Amino acid sequence: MSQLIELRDLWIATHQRDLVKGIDVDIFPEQVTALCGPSGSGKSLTARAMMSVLDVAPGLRGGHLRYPTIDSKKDWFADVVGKGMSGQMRLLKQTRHLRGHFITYSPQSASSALNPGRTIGRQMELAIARRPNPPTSLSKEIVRILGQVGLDRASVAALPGELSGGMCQRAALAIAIAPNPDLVIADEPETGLDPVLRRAVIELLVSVVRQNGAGLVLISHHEDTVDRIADAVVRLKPQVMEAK
Amino acid sequence: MNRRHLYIALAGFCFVTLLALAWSAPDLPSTIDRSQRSLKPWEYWPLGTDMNGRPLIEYASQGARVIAIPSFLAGILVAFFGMMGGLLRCVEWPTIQTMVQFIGEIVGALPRMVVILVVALLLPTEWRSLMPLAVVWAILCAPGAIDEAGAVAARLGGTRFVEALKAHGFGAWRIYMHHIVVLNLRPVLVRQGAEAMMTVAFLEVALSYLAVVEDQSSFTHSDNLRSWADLLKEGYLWLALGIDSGHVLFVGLGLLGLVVLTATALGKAAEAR
Amino acid sequence: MIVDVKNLVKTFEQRGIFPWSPIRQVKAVQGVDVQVAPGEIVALVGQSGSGKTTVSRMILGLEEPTSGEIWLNGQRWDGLSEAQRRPLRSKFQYVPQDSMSALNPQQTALEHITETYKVLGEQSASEAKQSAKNLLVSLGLSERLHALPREMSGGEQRRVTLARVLALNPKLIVADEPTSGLDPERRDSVLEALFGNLPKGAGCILVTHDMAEAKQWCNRIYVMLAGRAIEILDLEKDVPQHPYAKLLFDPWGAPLPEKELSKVGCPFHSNCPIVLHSKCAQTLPTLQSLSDSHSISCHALYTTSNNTEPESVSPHAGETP
Repeated sequence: MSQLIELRDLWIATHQRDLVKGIDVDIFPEQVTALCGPSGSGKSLTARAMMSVLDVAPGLRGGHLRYPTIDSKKDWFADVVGKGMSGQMRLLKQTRHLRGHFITYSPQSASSALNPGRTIGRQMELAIARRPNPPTSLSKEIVRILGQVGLDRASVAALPGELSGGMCQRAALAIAIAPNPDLVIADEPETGLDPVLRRAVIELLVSVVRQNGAGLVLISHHEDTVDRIADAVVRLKPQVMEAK
Repeated sequence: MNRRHLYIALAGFCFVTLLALAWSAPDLPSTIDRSQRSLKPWEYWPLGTDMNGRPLIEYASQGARVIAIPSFLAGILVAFFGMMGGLLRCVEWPTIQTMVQFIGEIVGALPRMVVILVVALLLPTEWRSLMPLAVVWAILCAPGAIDEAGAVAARLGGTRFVEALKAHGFGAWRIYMHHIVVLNLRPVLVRQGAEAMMTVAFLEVALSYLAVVEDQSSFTHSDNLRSWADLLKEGYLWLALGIDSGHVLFVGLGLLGLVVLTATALGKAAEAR
Repeated sequence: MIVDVKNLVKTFEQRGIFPWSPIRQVKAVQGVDVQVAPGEIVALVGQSGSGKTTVSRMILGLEEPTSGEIWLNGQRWDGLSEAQRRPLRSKFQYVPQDSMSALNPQQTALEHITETYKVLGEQSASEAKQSAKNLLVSLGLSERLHALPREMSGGEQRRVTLARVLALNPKLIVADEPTSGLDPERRDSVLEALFGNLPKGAGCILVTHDMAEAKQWCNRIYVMLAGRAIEILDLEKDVPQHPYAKLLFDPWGAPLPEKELSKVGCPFHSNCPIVLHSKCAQTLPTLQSLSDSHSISCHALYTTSNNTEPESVSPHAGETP
């Protein structure tokens, strides 16, 4: 089974210091991979690199990135290593069609994922439209996906400001899953939640992702969660990587 | 800290210069003396003379006197409104907050120059001076100051900031005046106040110029006083007709520049860390 | 007792959009007793909305209770005016959840603590500066003495807030989720800074939903649910018995609750594996002691534990009425 993402020897640095070095990651379809490590170990940076988003200057000093299910040979970092921000911007443009479609990203706070000026329904429409074959009956599909995350029909017409924090979190998850991606990256969704709610959110995340046949990359620092749901774990230490 | 001291010194110097000018203004214009006309600053200390032989220093000082108190008052008023706006964000008074917001939106949307002109035209002749116009201008500028100060207070944490300090044991005066106003709102308030001062000075020059050009009696001061607008009008003749009054233009612009410098230096001196 | 709280109740009024809309009563706290002895560290744990933050804020007088008594260090606190409370506040300190909003962005770390020593500690300017320096260095902030809050990391900001509190040598510290949002290493350093430097004989109330923290640092734990304390225990001697408390400590050990908390009877009864259908749905259980350190609010457990070993499951578990 070929990977969704093959990342080798990732090395990202600023002018002063290395941020991430020597990281290898393999993401397989329909698997849950946990990305763990303390603050500053480069978890978010690695996750973004997996999406071909490199936003540190001068940035990529080494590494190879392949998306074997899309193009088995191409190393997307080939033209970017050592070329600074302009190379990284070019990569961003080249891979634009992948994000929001092949890979989606669910940020730590739902407020970053939701557009406060648009209704949930409208945001779902835009997300679903990114599929290669969008269904003709959008509204049915929207309701179906919202149902998966536990939101009812009333949320379709709601603005994010009208929903509670928990509901916003679920709406953000729905939007991440709506384009039927092959991979969802969830960035620390458990932050600030009590243990029971944390489990509920994680279980929801894993079940929705599995139901839709996607893989999941979960960034977390809670050991009990990782033990329970991860098929593979990548542990980052500041600058040193130790895979499991 | 050194840069701050420099700016304070600069602002102080400009301020004192303008005040000295205003203070030294003669009450009556001096007599015409054609033998002394159009002398350059190096020929007739300190600023030269105009076409009629009157010393330009008279224009400068009388103009400064007209501007001094009203512009200062406008600056204080705007800073005061801003302070109230900022403090309002730190207390739980939702009805008053909504009211202030509402009034602020309306006032803020008014076209300022139109309102000032209307007020200037409507004022009965005995009341014509810069002071009422400066006050109206300050009120028109207040919503901007209130919004900006409110934003700073909100970023500070608003009521949560006050509560944390209150829980620590600090008294209300220390929390509101020292922590919020002096340490955090100061940059906004001084800058907004300085800007209001500066724009009132420009307002005076603009209105006086209008009156001079239309051969009307001035909106802002009694007619026996000279103003900076007169300098600009005569100076303009150098550009338009080549009359030997270039130095007059430069004195006029220089005075305006001094006002801008004062306002900018004040703003920079009060900057946040 | 440093803290002796009896029957604390807080009902919030939530107004509707229009002046004539009905006012909703939100019962945030419905009768809570808390005691903290000198030198004791007590945890208030529970999910958001359980009332733990409201209780901690009422204890310090940041919210007024609807009813109940609050005694701090032998003095009645809840009836006092703010002016009467202010001079006493230096002994009863608060570490807020959001440390950034407690710090003045225009003051350096040193200036913050110097101010505290000078204004509230009544030291002279030079003494205050020296004491501040010493305290900050002892908390590992020697590199950050002249840094503004925006130049510090989250953990460092929290330590400055802690320093400000510790400078006053308080008798009580109430810390509201001081480690929320921090990863495990930072959490440890902040909590070590707090508990390692507690004045002798001081009491501490830690509001948290991280059970590992509570286990590691606290003598007694109050588990709160829907505005009430449903279990009080000492983790060195007792094991959590209440089904909800057990879930908080081991979220993966039992099925997740699916139904909402109910307003009648025991709030947890619709999700409870050991529910007694006749009793639990109708009457609210009260706190009963199982031992001198352990109290629990549960019909099923209290009746069984009176007769048999604490660990017991009712034969009706899992049945639907």
